[in-house]
Amino acid sequence: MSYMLEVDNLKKHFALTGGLLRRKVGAVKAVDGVSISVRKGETFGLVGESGCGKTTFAKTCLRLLNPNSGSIFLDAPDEVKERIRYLRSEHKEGSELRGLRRQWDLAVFRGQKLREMRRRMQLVYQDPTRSLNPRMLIKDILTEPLAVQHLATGASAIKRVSEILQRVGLGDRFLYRYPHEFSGGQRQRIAIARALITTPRLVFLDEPTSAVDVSVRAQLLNLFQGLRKDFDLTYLYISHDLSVVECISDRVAVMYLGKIVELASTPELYTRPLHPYSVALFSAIPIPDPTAKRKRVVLTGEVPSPVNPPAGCRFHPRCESASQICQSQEPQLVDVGNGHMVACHLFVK
Amino acid sequence: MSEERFLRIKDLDLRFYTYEGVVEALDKVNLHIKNGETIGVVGETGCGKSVTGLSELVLIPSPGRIEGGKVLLNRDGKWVNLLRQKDAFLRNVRGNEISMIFQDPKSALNPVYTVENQIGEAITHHRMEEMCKRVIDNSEKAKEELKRTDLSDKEKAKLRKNVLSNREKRFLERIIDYPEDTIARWASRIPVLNRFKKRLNKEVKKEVVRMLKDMRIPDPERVAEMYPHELSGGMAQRVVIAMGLCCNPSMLIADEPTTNLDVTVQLQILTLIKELKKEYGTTIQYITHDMGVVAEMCDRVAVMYAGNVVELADVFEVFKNPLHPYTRALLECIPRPGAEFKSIEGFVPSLISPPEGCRFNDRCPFAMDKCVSVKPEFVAAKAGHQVLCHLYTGEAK
Amino acid sequence: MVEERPLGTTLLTLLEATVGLIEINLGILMLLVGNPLPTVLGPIDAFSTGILLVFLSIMSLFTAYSLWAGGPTNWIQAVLVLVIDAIAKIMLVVTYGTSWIALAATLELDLIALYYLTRPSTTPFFGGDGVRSVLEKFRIEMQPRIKELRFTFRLVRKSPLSIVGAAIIIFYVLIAIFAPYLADPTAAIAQTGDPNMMWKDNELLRLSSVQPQLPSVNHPFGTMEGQYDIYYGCIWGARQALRIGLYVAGGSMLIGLAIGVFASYYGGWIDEVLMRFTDIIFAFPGLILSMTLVVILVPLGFNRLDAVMLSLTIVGWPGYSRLIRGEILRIKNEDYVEAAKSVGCSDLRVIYKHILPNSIYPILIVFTLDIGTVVLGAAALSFLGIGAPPGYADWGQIIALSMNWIYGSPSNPFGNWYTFVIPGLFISMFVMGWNLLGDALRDILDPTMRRK
Repeated sequence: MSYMLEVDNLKKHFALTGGLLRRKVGAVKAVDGVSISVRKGETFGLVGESGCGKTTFAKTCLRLLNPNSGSIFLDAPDEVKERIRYLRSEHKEGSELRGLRRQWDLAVFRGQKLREMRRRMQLVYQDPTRSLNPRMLIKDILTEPLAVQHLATGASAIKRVSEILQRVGLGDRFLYRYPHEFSGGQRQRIAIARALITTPRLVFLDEPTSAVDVSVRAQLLNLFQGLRKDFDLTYLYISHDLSVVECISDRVAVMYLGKIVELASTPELYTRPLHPYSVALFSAIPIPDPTAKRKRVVLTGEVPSPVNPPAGCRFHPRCESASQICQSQEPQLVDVGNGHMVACHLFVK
Repeated sequence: MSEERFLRIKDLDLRFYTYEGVVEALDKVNLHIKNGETIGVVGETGCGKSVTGLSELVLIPSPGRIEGGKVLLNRDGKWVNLLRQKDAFLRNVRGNEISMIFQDPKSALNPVYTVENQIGEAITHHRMEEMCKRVIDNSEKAKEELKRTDLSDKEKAKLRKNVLSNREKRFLERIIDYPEDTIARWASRIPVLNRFKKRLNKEVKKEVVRMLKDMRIPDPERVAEMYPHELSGGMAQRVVIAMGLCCNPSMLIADEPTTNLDVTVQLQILTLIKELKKEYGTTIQYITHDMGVVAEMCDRVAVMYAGNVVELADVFEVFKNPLHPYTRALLECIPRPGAEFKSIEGFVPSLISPPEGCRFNDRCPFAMDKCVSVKPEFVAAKAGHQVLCHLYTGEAK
Repeated sequence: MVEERPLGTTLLTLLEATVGLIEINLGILMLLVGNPLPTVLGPIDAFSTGILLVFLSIMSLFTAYSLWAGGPTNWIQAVLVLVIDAIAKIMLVVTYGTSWIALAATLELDLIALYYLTRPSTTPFFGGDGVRSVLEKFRIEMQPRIKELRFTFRLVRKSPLSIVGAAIIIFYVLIAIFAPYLADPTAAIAQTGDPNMMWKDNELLRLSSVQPQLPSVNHPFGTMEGQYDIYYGCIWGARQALRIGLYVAGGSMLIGLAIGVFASYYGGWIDEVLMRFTDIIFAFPGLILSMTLVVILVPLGFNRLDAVMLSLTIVGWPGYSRLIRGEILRIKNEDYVEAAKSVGCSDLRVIYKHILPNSIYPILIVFTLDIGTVVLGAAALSFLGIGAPPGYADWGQIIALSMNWIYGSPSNPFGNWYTFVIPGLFISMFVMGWNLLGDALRDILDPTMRRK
């Protein structure tokens, strides 16, 4: 089983400075050791609430933010990945490791390699009103990736743009207009077109349907499914809308305070959530059926700040089943069968 | 929940006069709200649900103008048309009888005032008499207590803090008797003279803390002194709800209060609203686009589309037996795992030049010739279930 | 697909055509040089020539763009045409002087080029993608931008103050361009050789020595100390005002933008260091600092007016830096900037294409207001005696000359009102015009108000 995207122990901390000499007084541990593996062609869902670090994670993978540590592999051969992991675990931080990483590890790419990588991974933002430059024509917005990546210019670029616009369901009349002349759903399609125009292999979708209406949402979701088939794409779908993630993803990971707490295939996770946080999360989804019986787990308190996460298991202050060990030791992600991974002391045998 | 009606909106027309043209935001909207119920107003962006709420408080921003219809409030059996009332009357209604909370808690709170100041402002504006009376009562009680001989010095000092001087007492009594009195108002603004307000402010703060505790906010004294940017989303929304309920209004209009919040925080807030409703018995108008929340919270549902109320019925009815084609389509749009995503073809019509007949006709699978040119009437297809559709006007009445 | 002709062939074809056109024009000129045609408007001086040259350069730019729109390899060709065009113009103007005919000839060159471009294009040179001509393509490209512009103008029309402001400015620009016709410079040139120095009425000098004279037929606004004609000074002073205003405001804007963009985009210690420079300049009161700078610069060899302009520029750029810094810090974190980075845009491209167009509007507004402020500052310096040399046609200078006569004789205290009121009116109207324009621009360009 070959994985297309493999992320090893990615960490992204934002330093907090304070005091007279602007010394580092702390860090916001937005992403604190996240590892995932995404298969080619699947839709991998990443859910969590605000502040859990899922958007930061996506941006770090795309190198819009620079990771503090960890590796990102896109289409790297298995032997290379094995070798790097082996060298890492043996602490052999020599030139071999450096050389391999410069060649294959997205986390350390620079210059030309970095730019090339951007062709293969793209991001669709949540709010299309903010992610499209209000003073640029649609034509310019869409030809820009081609120009920057030296893929096409002039008439051939326009042709490609027209093709992409057709594929996302918009016509040619959209070319010479400004973004504010379109509705939210149309703008999101333009953003999707921009992401696809360099024919990427992996597309990160950061809450792409939360800024649009319910009836348009379904159109966009159908579009995603169609495009996945046509362009042979792999998706990383980030959202806090659990019902949508359920319908579109093959596998789902739940994040809390910068760490993954549970990971499983979609049907498995939604019917049998194990981690107490996942249980609370899924029970909080409002069910559009007034007759349905609801078993609600209402969480107390608020999400703690990522600056000072609680010691041990990060969820223990809000967890009903917390015990002594939860306060001191952080649980690791373990496989409890069927590819279902949980990070909770309740499930460690 | 009684059958008695609390508020009625009759044939409301609202237009916005913009550079691009006249936007017919609301077109003969009919809605009635019963005492003590929770009514949900559902619809997508631009359908007019928010402006309906604003119309009930006559708070339409320019360039909007209410062009027709009535907003009738039931006051002790008499119906009062809020659209024809003077500003002073409306200011009394807003916050006191009908209160509104908005979508983004952070922008509903003024960033330069503490929580205590903001909630206190609402209390001071509407419940001034009550607060003054309380302060005076406290003072009398303290005077009585001081007559006892068995008090320690510390206790005596504490009680003396509550005793008002004669001048202060006269000020407060003046405020009670003449709430609009200029002298009292001016005196309260001049630094040295407003010392009489010290105890009044303390009393208001006590009330604020009590409200925050009611909102199940932990450590309310500390939260009362916080600024809005120090609060998290859920906490800020609770503060906004406290502001809305502090004067014990008969009705609360909630305009998408949980849309910006995380799902677990949303659950907390919804649970809170349900509990508060049990305690206070407020009528709630819940505006949202989320059918799940509607199913959770509401007793009756009004579905809106492009400036019309297209269906109005009991919540079970709407989900089990939706009559209007738009409601049906909307319910089908809800994503279900394993099934293909269904969407509604076409786009919402532009409200600048809305269609002549039924506004849904270009997207409706059941559209007839009549629908293109003739506007349907809002009739009761069954008891308690009203629809705006030609399919049901035949069998009506 | 743009047909990729061999570069050499295309170059040659273009070169041939251009050289041919130049030859034709030179021929016509040679014919005319011997028989100068009396022109309707008479001689035009360097200032107006400057403006017309600017206009013609814009036309050349258009020519270049049209060629460029054809395809990637054409930029060389475009540059070549541009260069040849510019050289031709300069040659003609320099050789034949500032003669109207010479300028007309270069205009003809551009019109011919335009004709070639607007013809239905049969050559694959411009890309056979079905567009009838390059001009058509240009029009289609510009259509949405024109629509935006139209919307802006509608807003302008709705605001009467902006029209008043614009009218005032146009009035001044016209005065400046047609100064030689409104106030005959022959007397001034006869006396000092430089039309920018006011002329003295020697007759009146003999009659009434240096006493300012009331307005009369010869001197519509009167004269001032030394019998300088106020009317002449005010009219030609408009030129100085525009020159100082545009150069100083423009210069400080460009410097301020460059430094501000660089500092705020990269942040960190670069930001800190550069902002300290702005702080240093802010610490001094503007007028005093500019006075000091003028006093330093003049002995270094700058002529006085240039020194004034340079010092005002140095004092003025930090304001723009601060302004653009605020805007950029706001826009830097917007989603579309990040999206541009995520497709691989270089820093320069992000700044130029994404950040600047969205942040430039407050700068433009301040620019228009600044022109007025700068002129006031220059007038103040002239009044203090540090600005233009005495006798120079500059509004501040005129008021400086009237310093001794502000209070007339005890029996007639306002007897010499015309010496300072009239130039004062000119200055205040000028500043007011720019202020009104700037205010109107602000109302129009403010994005929150635009879409009301």
